[in-house]
Amino acid sequence: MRLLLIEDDPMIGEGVCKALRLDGFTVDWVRDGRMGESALDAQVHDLVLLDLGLPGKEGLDVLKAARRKGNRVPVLILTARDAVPDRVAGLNAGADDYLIKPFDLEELAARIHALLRRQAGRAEAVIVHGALVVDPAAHAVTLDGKPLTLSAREFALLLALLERPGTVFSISQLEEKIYGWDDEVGSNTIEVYIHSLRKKLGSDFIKNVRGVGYMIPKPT
Amino acid sequence: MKSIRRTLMLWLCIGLTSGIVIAGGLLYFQAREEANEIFDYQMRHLAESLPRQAFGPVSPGRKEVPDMERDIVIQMWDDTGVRIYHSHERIALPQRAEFGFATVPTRDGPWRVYSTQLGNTVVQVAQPMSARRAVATEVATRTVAPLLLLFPFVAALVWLTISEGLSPLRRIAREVKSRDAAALSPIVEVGMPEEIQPLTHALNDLLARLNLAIGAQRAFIADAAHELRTPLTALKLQIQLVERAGSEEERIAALAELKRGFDRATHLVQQLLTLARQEPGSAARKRQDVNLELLARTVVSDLAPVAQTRSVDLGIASSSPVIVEGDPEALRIMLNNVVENAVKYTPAGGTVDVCIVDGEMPVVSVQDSGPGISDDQLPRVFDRFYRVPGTEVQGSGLGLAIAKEVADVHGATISLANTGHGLRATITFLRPAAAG
Repeated sequence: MRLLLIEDDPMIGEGVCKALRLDGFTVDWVRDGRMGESALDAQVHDLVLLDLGLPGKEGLDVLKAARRKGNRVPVLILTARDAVPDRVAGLNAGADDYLIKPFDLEELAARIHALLRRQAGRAEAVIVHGALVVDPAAHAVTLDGKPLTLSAREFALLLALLERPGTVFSISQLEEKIYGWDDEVGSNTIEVYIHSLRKKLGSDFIKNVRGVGYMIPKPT
Repeated sequence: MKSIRRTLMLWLCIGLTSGIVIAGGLLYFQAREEANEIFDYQMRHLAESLPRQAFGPVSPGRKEVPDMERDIVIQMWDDTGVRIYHSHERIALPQRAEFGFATVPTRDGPWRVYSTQLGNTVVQVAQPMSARRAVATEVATRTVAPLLLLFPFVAALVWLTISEGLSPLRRIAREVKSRDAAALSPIVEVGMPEEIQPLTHALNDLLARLNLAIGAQRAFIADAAHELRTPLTALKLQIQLVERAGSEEERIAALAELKRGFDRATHLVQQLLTLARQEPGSAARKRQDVNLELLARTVVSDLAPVAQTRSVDLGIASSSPVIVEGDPEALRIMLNNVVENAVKYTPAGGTVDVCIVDGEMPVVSVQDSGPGISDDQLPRVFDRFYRVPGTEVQGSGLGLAIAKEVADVHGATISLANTGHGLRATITFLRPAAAG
């Protein structure tokens, strides 16, 4: 899952990035409103963490502009403004959730997962696909009840493919989902991860559509 | 306690009383004048109506002392000077007087005497002046007495009028008393007498200013709460990252971050406290002579290690001993903040020059070789918590606000300007320097 963090404070930005990366998220971090706006326009993120008091352009203005352009990415506001009118203004501007600083990393992760779940149209916290059960929040995968060990990238790739079973994702689409701007993307790395996932989940689990990309078929 | 009502009543009573007394006095004199005319006229007629022929001596009509209030004493002499008649025996009046009216002193007080020649007899008619005074006194008293009776009614009326006139004051007092500290809306002036309007104007003016000051204070507290949350958020994140550290190296790195976060929060709290101490109306500060040259030396040597680690050449370019009056600690904080800013925002290899000029007014200037601040941001840099967008250097956004507060308290001005080769901060002391 690839997140966009728009936060001007370097210490908070670094802390959030580090913690979320530990949780297996891919995080892109921008420090002002204008850069946040262009990052949002790229529409490659699954969720946006938005601070309100931003230099360049106010967080709420960034959010309103994105919503006007039809961007429906889930937005979680992270702010120190805790007054009710501020929260109402944030939610009315199109935010999906509102978290007051200082916050717990556990709560932040839980809310991110909840928003992603809602975005995917699921009510349950876990994704069940045939014999495969994935718990995004706990970072746990079981196949026929047996736990599997996946690396962070493998897990991210699996989640990306499971987001819309039956849809073919191109390699560049998958790269966008699991790599941030700062990550070095080696050639064939997606293929490498697909290969190791197939080894762990069974060779038929991920289908290759030649010349197009990869997909996980809808469960029969 | 002074009371308008009592003062008014006192002066009113004094005024009324003296009015009545003066009126009574005037009436008395007027009445005496008239009594004189009437009695003189009577005396002359009485004298002229007496017998014109001399007659043998007659014993007095009355033996007793004359009634000083009513009686008129008559004496008659024949042409040989023998008293042939006198109305009261025991009266001593000069036996002879010139003809016509005269006022004669006796042992019973002055008498009015009328003498005339009637045929062969000399007639003298006399009356004590006290009788006339008594008449005048009676006339005056009769006229003034009803006024005295009126006195309590007038006083009561005045008492009520004053109460009525002062009722708006009581209304204001009630209204202000019933307010809580937050209710600073103006007092309604409709129906206020024009004598009280200056008071309500002044009160409303004060309320408006209080409202502004409290509003500014509230905004500052809200800002401060918001600004405090940011370093606290960072701290909380850093603590949680320490908890999650997987290896010893990660833990050490996370702890180092945590320490930085802690320093930052401490710095902000210190800056907030400093700012609160500089506010006008905070604890009274000691004013004393401060040598700006010594102050600049202290600040520069305090910041020299910071400048060295950043490879910035910090020094005093020119100076002269200048004495200003002020709080040495506050002035040190002000200069420290300005110089520290210059050092922090000057890239490595740059210079920061501090100059003290003793001209018409003492001036301290701090010139750096940094990138400066764009002109549209310049007016805002003294605002509390304001940070120039895109600033990488960590800071609270309070340093210059504190410097400005100190300058204001000392009657000095502080300004920033881009000089083309960096930013120059100028602190100008408006008071003339003492000889030093």
